[in-house]
Amino acid sequence: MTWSRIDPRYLVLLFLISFVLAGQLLLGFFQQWDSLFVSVGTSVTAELVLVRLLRGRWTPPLSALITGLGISLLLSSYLLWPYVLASLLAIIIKHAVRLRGKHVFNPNNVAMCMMLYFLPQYAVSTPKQWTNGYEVMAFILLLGAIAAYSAGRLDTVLAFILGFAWFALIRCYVFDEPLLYAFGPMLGASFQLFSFFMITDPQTTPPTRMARVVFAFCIAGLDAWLRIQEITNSTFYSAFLVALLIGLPYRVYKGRNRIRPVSIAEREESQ
Amino acid sequence: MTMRGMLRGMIGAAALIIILAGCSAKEQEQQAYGISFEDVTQAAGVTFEHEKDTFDPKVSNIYPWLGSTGAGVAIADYNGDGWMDVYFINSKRGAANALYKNNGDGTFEDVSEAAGVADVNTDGMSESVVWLDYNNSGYPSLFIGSWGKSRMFRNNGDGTFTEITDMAGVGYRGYVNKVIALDYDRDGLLDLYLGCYFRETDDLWNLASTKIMHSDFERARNGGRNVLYHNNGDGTFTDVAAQLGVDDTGWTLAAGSADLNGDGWPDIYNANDFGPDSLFLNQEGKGFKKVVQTRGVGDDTFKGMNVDFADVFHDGRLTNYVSNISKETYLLEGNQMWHEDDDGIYRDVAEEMGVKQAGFSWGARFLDVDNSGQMSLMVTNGFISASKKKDYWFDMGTLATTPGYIVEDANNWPAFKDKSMSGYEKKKLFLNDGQSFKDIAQNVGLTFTDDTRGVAAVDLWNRGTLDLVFAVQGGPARMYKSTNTTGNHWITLKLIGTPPSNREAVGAKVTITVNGVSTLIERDGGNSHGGQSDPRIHFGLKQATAVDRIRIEWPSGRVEERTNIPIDRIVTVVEGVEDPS
Repeated sequence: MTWSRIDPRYLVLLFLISFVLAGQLLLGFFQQWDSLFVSVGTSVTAELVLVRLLRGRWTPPLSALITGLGISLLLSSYLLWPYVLASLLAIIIKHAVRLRGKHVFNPNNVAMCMMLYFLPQYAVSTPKQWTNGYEVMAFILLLGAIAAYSAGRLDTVLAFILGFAWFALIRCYVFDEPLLYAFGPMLGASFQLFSFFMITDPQTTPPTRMARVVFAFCIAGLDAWLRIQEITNSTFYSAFLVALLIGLPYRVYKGRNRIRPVSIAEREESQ
Repeated sequence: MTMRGMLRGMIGAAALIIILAGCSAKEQEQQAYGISFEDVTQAAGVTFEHEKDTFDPKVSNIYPWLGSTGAGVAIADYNGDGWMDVYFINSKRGAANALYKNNGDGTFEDVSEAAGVADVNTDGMSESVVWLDYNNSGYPSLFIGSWGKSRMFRNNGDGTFTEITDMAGVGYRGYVNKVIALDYDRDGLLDLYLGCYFRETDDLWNLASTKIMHSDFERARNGGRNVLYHNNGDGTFTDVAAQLGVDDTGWTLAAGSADLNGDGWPDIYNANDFGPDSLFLNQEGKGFKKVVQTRGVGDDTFKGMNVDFADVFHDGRLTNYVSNISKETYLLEGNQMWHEDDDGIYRDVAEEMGVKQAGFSWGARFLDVDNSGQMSLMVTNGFISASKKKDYWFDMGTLATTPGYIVEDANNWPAFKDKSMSGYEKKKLFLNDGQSFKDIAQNVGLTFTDDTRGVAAVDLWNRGTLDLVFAVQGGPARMYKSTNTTGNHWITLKLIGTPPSNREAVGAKVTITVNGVSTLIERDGGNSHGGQSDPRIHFGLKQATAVDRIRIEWPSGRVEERTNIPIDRIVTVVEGVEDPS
C-alpha cells in the first residue's frame, strides 16, 4: 500500500492526534482534555445532524472529527463555550457557504477568524512553542509532510514555507526586524500546525500545482503585510482573505468540475 | 435561515450580551458597598517617586522590560510608637529609598536620611524589601533584596539603623525580585528566602553575552537560583537553599510562605515567570519536598508574578492566589486561585470565584476590606505604560511562537522604543460577598491606572479599617485612606511571640470564630509581590458583637485559646500570657 492510496483524512487525523497527545502529555498545552471533548463532540454532532437534515442520511463524520480536533488545538480559551461555538460555526459554514457543491473556506480557518475577530476577550490563538522538544517536533512534522503528500498538497506547504521565509527576509532587511525574530515563528508549533493543516484542504485549495503555489505564496505575502501592520493572528486572516479575494473568484471563473475529477475521498469529504 | 442570517443572529446575540453586561455594571455602580477610598498621598506628605535604571547598552532594545520591576512598599512600626510606618524602595542606582514615619495625625515624615536607610542603591538597585525582627529585639530590621548586592540594616531601636550586610553574610549578589521572612526550622529566629529572576552569573550593566533571557515561555528553568538564608542566631546567616532543596532556578517573581498542609511547618510557594511555579512542603525543617501535580500546581505553563494566601472558604485550608497575565487578543490564561480538595489535589477555582481576569497582574493581597469577615482581594496590574498608540504585544506574541534559544538572546527581541504593553490598566478590588468575588475598584475610588507592582494593606491610623498603599513602577507612590460606613465590627491582633517562637510571631496561625464560622489567618513574613502589609492580624466581625473564640497556634507549637476578647480595638496578645491587653 502506498501513502497516496490512503484516504488522506486518516493521515490528517493521525497528524492531529499526535499533536493532541504531544500537547497534553508532554508540552502542557493550555487547552485540556475537556476542550478537546467539547470541540469534537460539538463538531461531530453538528455534522451528523446537519447531514441528516440536509441530505436525509447518516454519514461517518470523519471530516467533522478532524474539524473538532483542529479547533481544540488552534483555539485557546479559559472557558468551554468558545470551543463549542467555534466548532459549531465551522460545521455550519462548511455546509452553508458552498460553491458547486463544495465548501468555499477551510471550516477551521473561517471559524477561527470569526472567533478571533469578534470575541478576542474570550478566545485567542495561543502561541505555542515546542518547549525545546525538537524530537516531538520532528516526528509531527514528518507526519504532517506525509499527510500533505497524501492529499497532494505538499507543494502548497512548501510554497507557503518558502514564501514565508522570503518575506521574512524582506521584513528583516527592509523593515528592520531582527533576523531570527522574523524567521522564528517557522520553528513554532502554531506555524507548523497552520502549514500542514490549514492550507492543505483539497476542497479549498486550487486543483493545479501552479495555482496552489501562487495561492500559498499569496497567503505568505499577505501574512507578511499583516505582520508589518502588527496585526496578530495574521496567518488565519491572510488564509481567509486569500480564499475570499483570490480563491473564490478563481473557482468561479474556472469552474472546479471542469478542471479535474473529484476523488472518492474528496467526494465524501465534501458531503 | 440562510448562513448570512444565522451569522447576523449570532452577532446580534453577542451584542445583546454586551449591552446587558453594561446595564449590569451601571446598576453595580449605584450600589453602596459601605467602603470608599480617597487618595491622601499629597495630604499625608508622601512625595516618594520610584525611578528606573538603565543597563548595558547592548540590551538597550529591551530597557523598558528590564526596568519593569522593583517598585515596592513595606509596612512596620519601626520605632514602636504604635503607628505603622512605610518604607518605599527605588530601582535606580544612586536614587534614594524612603522611610516615612507615621506621625499619627494623618501626616508622614521622611526620616530615611536620619535613619540611615536612604542611600542604599550604591552597589545595585532595590527590587524587594522586607521588615523582620531577625534578632528578636522588638524592633524590626530591614532587608533589601537587590539587583546587584542585597543589603541588611539592623534597627538600633533609637530611630536609626546600622548596615550589617557583610557582617551578617547576606550580601547576595544577583537579581532578587522578592524577599520574605519565615522561620522554616522553628528555632525562634527569622530566616530569609530570596526569590531570584535573572541568573546571578550575568552582569546586566556589563554583559559578556546578550543571552540573558528566559529559554522558554512556558517551561523556562534558566533563571537565577533562589537563596535561603538560615539565621544562625549570632548575627550571621548561611545560605542553605541547595542543601534543603529550595534553590529554585525558575524565574521567581514572588515567593510566599504559609503552612499549606497544616503540619505546623511553614511551606514555600514560588510564583515563577515563564514556567511552572514551585510548591515546597517543609519536612520538619530538615528539607523541603517539591510538589508537582499533573496539569496543576507545579506543572503550569504560566507567568507567575505573585502569591498570597487566605482561608477564603473558611475550611482551614489556605488558598493560593497567583497572578498571571491576561490580555485580550493575545493571552487569556488568567490568574489562579488554588484550593486543595479533600483528595489533596489543588484545584484552580479562580474562574468560578470571579477572580481570574485582572489584566497584567502583579502584587495581590487578601484583606478584609469591609470588615465583613470575608477575605477580599486587591490586585495591582499594568506592565508598561508608554505610547497610547503603539503596543509591544504583537512583538511579544510573535516571540512567544519562537523557539526558546532565539528568545533567550535579547538581541533577537524587537526594540521596545516607546511602545506600551498592557499599560494604563484599571486596578481590581475583588470584593468577597461570601459566595464569590466582584470587582468594585472603580466604584470605591480606586480609579488610577499607573503601572503598579505592589500593594500593602494597613490600618495606618488605627481606626479598624484597612487603608491601601501602592508601589508604582516609575512613578509617584499612592496612599489611599479608607472610609468604612458599614458599621461592621472588627478586631486587630498584635501578636508577640516568646521563645521558642520568634518575637514577631511570623508563622503563627490564628483561627477566629465568629457566629460559629471559623477563619484561619496566618501571620506572614511579607507575602505578595512588591508589598509587605500590616504585620497585625485584622479581621471583621460584620454585625457580630463578640468573638466566639480565638485559637492561636504559635510558631513554637504552643496552642492557646482565648475567649472574651474585646472587639473594635487593637489587642496585643503575648504568647504564654493569659490576659491580652
